[in-house]
Amino acid sequence: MVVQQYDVVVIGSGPAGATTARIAAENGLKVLLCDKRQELGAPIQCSGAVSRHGLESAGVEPSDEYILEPIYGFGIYDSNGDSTTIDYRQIKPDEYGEGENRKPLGYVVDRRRFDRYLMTMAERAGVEVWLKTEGIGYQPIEDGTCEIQLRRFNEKLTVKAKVLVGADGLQSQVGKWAGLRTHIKLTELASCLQFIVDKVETAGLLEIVTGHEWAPGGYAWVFPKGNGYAEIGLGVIRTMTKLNAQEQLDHFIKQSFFKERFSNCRILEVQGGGVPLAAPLKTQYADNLILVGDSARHVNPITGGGIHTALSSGVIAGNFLGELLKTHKIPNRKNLKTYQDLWLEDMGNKMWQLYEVKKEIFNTSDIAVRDKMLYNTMSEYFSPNSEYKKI
Amino acid sequence: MVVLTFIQSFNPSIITMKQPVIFQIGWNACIKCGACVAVCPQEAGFISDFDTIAVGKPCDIACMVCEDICPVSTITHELVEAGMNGRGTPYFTFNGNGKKLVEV
Repeated sequence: MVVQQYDVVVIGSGPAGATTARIAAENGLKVLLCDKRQELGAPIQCSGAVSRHGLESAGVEPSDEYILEPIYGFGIYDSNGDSTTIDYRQIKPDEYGEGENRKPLGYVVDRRRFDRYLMTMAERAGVEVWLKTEGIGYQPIEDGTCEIQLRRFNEKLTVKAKVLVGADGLQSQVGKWAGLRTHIKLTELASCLQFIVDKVETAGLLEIVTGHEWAPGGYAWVFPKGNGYAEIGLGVIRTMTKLNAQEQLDHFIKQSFFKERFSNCRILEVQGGGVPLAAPLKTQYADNLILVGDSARHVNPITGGGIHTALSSGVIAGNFLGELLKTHKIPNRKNLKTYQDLWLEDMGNKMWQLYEVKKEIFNTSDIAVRDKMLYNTMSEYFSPNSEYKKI
Repeated sequence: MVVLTFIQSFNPSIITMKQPVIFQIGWNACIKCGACVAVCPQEAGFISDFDTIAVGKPCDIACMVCEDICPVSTITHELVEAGMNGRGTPYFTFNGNGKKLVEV
């Protein structure tokens, strides 16, 4: 049997994997993108909020194909319902809004359509895409490349690549193949649940509810979801509460200052997942292997946002691999470290800073003080003057 | 004869020698979110066909963080008795009452 050879094989076609694959192909590399699912993006484990800047910086055109609703700002609430509104339609009316020459600040996307859109972009850039294909294992071999075992529609097969890119999410098995410690501590993984609901009004803002009472260790959210629908969700750190995410969400919907607003809500979808409020992975590379996106914990530890960071790491990884393989360097551990260095320089170091901020907040034992710190941090974070605006 | 007591640890970050468990998932409530896998310190491959932690094989770490992280609390476990069979290979059997000491 002839073993197919690629420059790059990417496992997992989410925002990070599809973007890495697309950019690598644009750099002239022969790329295979695999995903074990039949429908990308599903089951949805994400609220779907992404900044316009995040899309555009990765060369992704905002499109009705995947956008559910444009976003113009934020509403930050403390546990009693007092709030700070940061509406860019009012702060910078010439730049942000619905009229001509004005734009949204960001979007809430349908992850099923969005992930498919990004995969299609990769495919059109020349990437070969295999769905219903899961990764089984990989071994670096003597010629400086690696062999990757896949299972595609039940058929086991082996392909060769110079570099394997693990983009298989928070549950990353690819990282574990190389002995990287990808699992996240219980104290740093928010357990999240969200409902897509009917009959809850929204106003083009991402609403964030802080306070230990409603979401211990994390926050609750109300996001517009298009067509008059909304999304109510929260994330909790389980070591900080006896209630699970489902019980905590029930408590938020029925008991919080929003209970009147939610009183007629009807649940249309149930989604959930883990969101790391953690530091980035310390080692994101091994021989013939790098990790991108959630698998490398490229997630903002304050907001839990991971789409923008996944797209950005995909651009960095794709361009890096293009350069590396053009110069015929061996993709060993030593040479692949440069990817992580570039990533740290671009956004990783800022994420480490955010992680320190997050730690300081949640290590504060006095609940009232901690609640105030989180509320203030969130309010500052989304303000026009925030130094962290770009991640 | 060595007797290991089952230690109920309230700090899941500390991994102690515990009685192995077999996890069970109530699929009706499972939302296939994968949080249990993300938090699991097992080696690669300790997963089910539905992107959850493995079911039907013993977990010797038994840290239970997968049960804690589950947003809908749909992971449960049964304790298994560990032992060696006549050929010197380990075997596990279900322990009905779930509280018994393990005798190795």
